[in-house]
Amino acid sequence: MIAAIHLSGDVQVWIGALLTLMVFSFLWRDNPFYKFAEHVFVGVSAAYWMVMGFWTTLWPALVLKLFPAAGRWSSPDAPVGAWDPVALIPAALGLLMLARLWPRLSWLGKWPTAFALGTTAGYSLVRYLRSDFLYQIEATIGTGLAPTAAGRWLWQESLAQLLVLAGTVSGLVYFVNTREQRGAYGRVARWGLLVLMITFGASFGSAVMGRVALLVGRFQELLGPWLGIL
Amino acid sequence: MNDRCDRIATWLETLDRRWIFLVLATVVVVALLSGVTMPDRATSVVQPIYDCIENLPQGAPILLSLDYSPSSAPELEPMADALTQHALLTGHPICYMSLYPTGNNMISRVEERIIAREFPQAVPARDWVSLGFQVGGEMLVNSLRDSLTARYPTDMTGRPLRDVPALRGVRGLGDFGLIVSLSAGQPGLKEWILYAGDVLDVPLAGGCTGVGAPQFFPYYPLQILGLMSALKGAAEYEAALARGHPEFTAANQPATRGMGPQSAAHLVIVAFILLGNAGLLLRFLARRRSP
Repeated sequence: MIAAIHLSGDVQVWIGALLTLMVFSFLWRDNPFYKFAEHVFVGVSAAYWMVMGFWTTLWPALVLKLFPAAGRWSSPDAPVGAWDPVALIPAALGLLMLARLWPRLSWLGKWPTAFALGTTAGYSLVRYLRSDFLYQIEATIGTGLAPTAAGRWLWQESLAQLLVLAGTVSGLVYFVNTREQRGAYGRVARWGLLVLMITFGASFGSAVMGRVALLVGRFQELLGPWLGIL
Repeated sequence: MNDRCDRIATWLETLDRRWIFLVLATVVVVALLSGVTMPDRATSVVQPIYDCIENLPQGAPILLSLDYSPSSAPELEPMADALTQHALLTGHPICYMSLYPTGNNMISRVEERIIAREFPQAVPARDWVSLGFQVGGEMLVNSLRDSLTARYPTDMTGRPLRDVPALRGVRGLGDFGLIVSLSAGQPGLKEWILYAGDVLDVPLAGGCTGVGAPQFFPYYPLQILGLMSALKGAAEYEAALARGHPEFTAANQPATRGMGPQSAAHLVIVAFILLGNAGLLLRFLARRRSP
């Protein structure tokens, strides 16, 4: 197997492989190699986000609208746009956000925060109400019990729909704390607890599956592009 | 007997977790090197996505939003690969975009690895177009509903969208034959459901990480036509593609290759869970028998 190893000559592959091994080394114990990889990751991520934020948000949505001639510097062939005074509003809000850096002026930072929260909440309310509430109720109640146009019962779908409905209702009953959970009501609540436990188990299993997939992906990178075994 | 139960239980309870890591890593490496694969088939949650592409009108464009970063690529990239190959095999132009800042790199990887290698005859702007990343998340999706050019005057190469044959007849999101979001978190599939799928009369499907899957399953089948969940979902899609298109070979199935080691790792985890429970049981028996 050693004879089949063909180490990569690509510097990027080596950097990726060594950083992966450094992160894996944490499984043994905390060590300087892991710390190094951790700090590199945080630093590179922050720098990447800052650069992307500038060139994808600040530059096109603010600088080019207030100073259209600046576009000649970044894209000499692109046509120069028109001056857009509306961009002064987000510019002012952005500057107010920076006021939080000075304790005496930090209260000014509440205005852009309030603006962002208010508009987002107002705009999303209708969408969430429809998609996460009304449509989800419709999906829970469903039409699985209805026969098809051909008059045939879809018994598998009907059973699944009944289970979803029973699980949802019993799960909700479990969280009703204004009534003592005894007798038939208590049994429904316990069934709801069971449904919740199964749901949490499935969620956890799904998360483990995802993490294992990432582990497999890392080993594929190590054994493939780096060692050339795969 | 009691002493033996006690000793075994103590050994299991004090087992150094690094042994578990070592065994897991060894099993994954051995499974990868041996090339073991697991037979798979598309379930009823994945098959509708495949069927939708198969039944699209000739030349209908597909919007593929790669809403993930490199950290989620092992789970989501095989889906992007398979969908790209399926679209190009069936003659549907693909339009790539992303809600993630790292999306441009993810798009480039698919272009280099799949389109350039597997479909050298594919023509840019005719068979696929890359719009790239734009900031805004849900507001971006919202603004694209009526007009793509509102936020994307040009594609990633600087070509005006009116000169892109792949988008001929496409004004807004509703003009696509299918929208697929491969989502690692927020913004992602959820935003596509809220601001595009539930508002427009356009089929919407998704792919998500294993961690995100429980969040998206409630939307199936009323609000999304199908969902690929993690590597397993990608492997299922590859299985459907391999069955329907023999030219889609085993060499093009990274998810199917990854499912062998994944299944082996799951067996190891299950074995350790059983061992841990056995330790508890032995401890319980030892306590019960002790005077």
